[in-house]
Amino acid sequence: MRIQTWLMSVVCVSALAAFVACGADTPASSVVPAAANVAAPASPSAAPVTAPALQQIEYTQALPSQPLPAMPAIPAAPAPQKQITAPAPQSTARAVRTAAPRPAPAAPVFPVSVKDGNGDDVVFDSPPERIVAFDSAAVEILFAIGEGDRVVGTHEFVTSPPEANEVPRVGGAFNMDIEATVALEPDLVFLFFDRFKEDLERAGLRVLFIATLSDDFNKVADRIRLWGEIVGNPVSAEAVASDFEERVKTITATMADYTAGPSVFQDEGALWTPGQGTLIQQVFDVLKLENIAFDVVGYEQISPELIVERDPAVIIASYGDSISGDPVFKDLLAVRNRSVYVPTSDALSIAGPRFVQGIEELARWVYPGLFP
Amino acid sequence: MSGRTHEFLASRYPSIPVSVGLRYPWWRLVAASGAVVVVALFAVSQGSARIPIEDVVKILVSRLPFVSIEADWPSTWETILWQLRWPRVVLAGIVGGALATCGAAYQGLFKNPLADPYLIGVASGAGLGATIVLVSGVPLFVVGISVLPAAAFAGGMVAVVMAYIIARQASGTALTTLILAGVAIASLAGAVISLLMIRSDPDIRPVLSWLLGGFISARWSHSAFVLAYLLPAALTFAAYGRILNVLQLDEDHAAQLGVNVERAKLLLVASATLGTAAAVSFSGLIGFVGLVAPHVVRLAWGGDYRFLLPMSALVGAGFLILADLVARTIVTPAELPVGIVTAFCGAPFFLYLLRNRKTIAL
Repeated sequence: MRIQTWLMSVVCVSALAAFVACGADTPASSVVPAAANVAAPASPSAAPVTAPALQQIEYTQALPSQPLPAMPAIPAAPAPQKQITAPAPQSTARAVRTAAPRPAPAAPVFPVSVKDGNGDDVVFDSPPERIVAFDSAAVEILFAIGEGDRVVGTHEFVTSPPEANEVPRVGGAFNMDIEATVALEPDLVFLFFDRFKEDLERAGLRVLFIATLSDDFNKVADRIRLWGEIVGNPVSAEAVASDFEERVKTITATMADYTAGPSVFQDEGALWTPGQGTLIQQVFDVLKLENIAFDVVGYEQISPELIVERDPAVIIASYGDSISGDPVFKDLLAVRNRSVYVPTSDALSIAGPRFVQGIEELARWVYPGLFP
Repeated sequence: MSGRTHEFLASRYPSIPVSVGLRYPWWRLVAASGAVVVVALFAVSQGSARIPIEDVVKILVSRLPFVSIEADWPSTWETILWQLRWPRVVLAGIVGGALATCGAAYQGLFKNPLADPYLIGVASGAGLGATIVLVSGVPLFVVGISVLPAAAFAGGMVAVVMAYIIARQASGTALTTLILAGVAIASLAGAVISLLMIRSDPDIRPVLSWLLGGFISARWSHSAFVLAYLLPAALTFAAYGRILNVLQLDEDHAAQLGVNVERAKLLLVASATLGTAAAVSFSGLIGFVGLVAPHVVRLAWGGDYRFLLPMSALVGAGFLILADLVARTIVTPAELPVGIVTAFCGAPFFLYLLRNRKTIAL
């Protein structure tokens, strides 16, 4: 077995074990007492019409109720999505939001309880007014649902939407200026990694940590709804989220009749490429593109020999085309047909509302006939 | 210097490494060269693309003059062998040889067994040059020429020239000062690299890959470029092997024996720096080769620099070809930075040698 496969298995298994060990009881047990506290509707089936008093928004990061195999299966159809749509009878909040057709979201109701990336509950009694959103996707979501004026701080690599460029910066993605953050007097700091969580909490700030989406882009819609609940604007959030879902659905439906598309290689610079278990792979699956890096897990620097041998028909050069000019790659199908795509935006690198736009752009480029 | 000088040195200063004696062991170099060729052929036959060994042989033989074999293999195999594997093996060999020789020269010049080609700041300077290019968003190719190696080369040279200017005094160049200045400049450059990495785009993988070294983008033209810079360095080393032997005395004694110590120091530092900067410009910072290979030779065959320098080149070449073979095959379909492999193999092997031989005599 390849050493890296082995390592990944160890990581996945231990991550699952950790989840099971520390969070096994949370999905089921925490929902019920929280709802019971505030006189939940008598039976879950009666719930859909009236919003429950306490919105229980459950966040579980890639945590299936059944242990998954350590590695995603090769074609990796977006199965986790199914989990969301299956109504769980004892979970009122979930039943509310997943009942089809989706009911129009009612006026915001506080308190709102959110489960963070560590499985802890974070309760909001009122919408946060001054948010340091230390995450590109969160900033994009807040602006997309019309709540961008709540964002008072972010990190240096946030470039979208253009209005966000005026938001003060409190660090560069992986380092954070705690003092500057405190000085902004936020009533919520959102983090996509938990390194600075304790420091911020010690400084008396309320912190919500939820890891960046990396397993399923369909969950972007849930993220959008989550933010809608937090800032008390579920109506706009629902609109943006269902727009996202509709557009994904349109693409999926268009592609449904097709089985095999061209083979693809994505160069993230220096031949680093996404493989199994990445959002990009999921996009490839939706667009029926066959990733030549099918045996790569996560992101790896792939051997150039394999690129030549597997001869991709399409190349996506995320950060500029350094392949077409290379004599080694001159005979590749993609190079001969000039099928090297340099994305015009970074939409596919941020799991936010624009992600679907990235898929659409790629789809239009690969299948101009199908996506006019 | 003549053979007589060596006899004189051997009798007067028994600590001088003249173990090779008056008869130069050419045959060892010839045998080692043969071994490197065998290693290279083996390395070419292996790779992540599965090409049967008989086809590898056929494709190689078909390129020999006066041989014509009908091509019954896919043309991609030929591309893989001639455009990817061969350039890669050759560049790994050249870089390994360059790093090992320059390491040996630095060890002799500074009389310091810990010296490696990166001692006086070449590596950090080159790393800084490369990092600036990688994080600044400068296009990596300008009119078809890759900017990265040029920046790395320039960075390495600037760092060493700065150290040299600082260390040069009216009375001559103090080698200790040169090392200290080099270390200080290296720290400074290292700090700037870290700063750039932490302030740059979250995706620092390209910078990290470069800093850890690798031959993933090796092309024939790279070998030609590196060789062009290595040639003057190699000639200097060939001419200065004896003088390096004499420099193992203190400088006054060497001067008394008719050695122009100042000129020797300048030429050796310049050559080793040139060689190292050229070597790292395409492959990134590959550690341990320049430190381990000379010591292996020293422990096996003694410390005569006339023999040590060329033999280190061969040992370094063979070692780095093998290390790169491991780097590109062990986690297929992916690649490892070769610097990780050299450190993994080199460090324990070095410790083993130290444990068994206790002391390393320079």
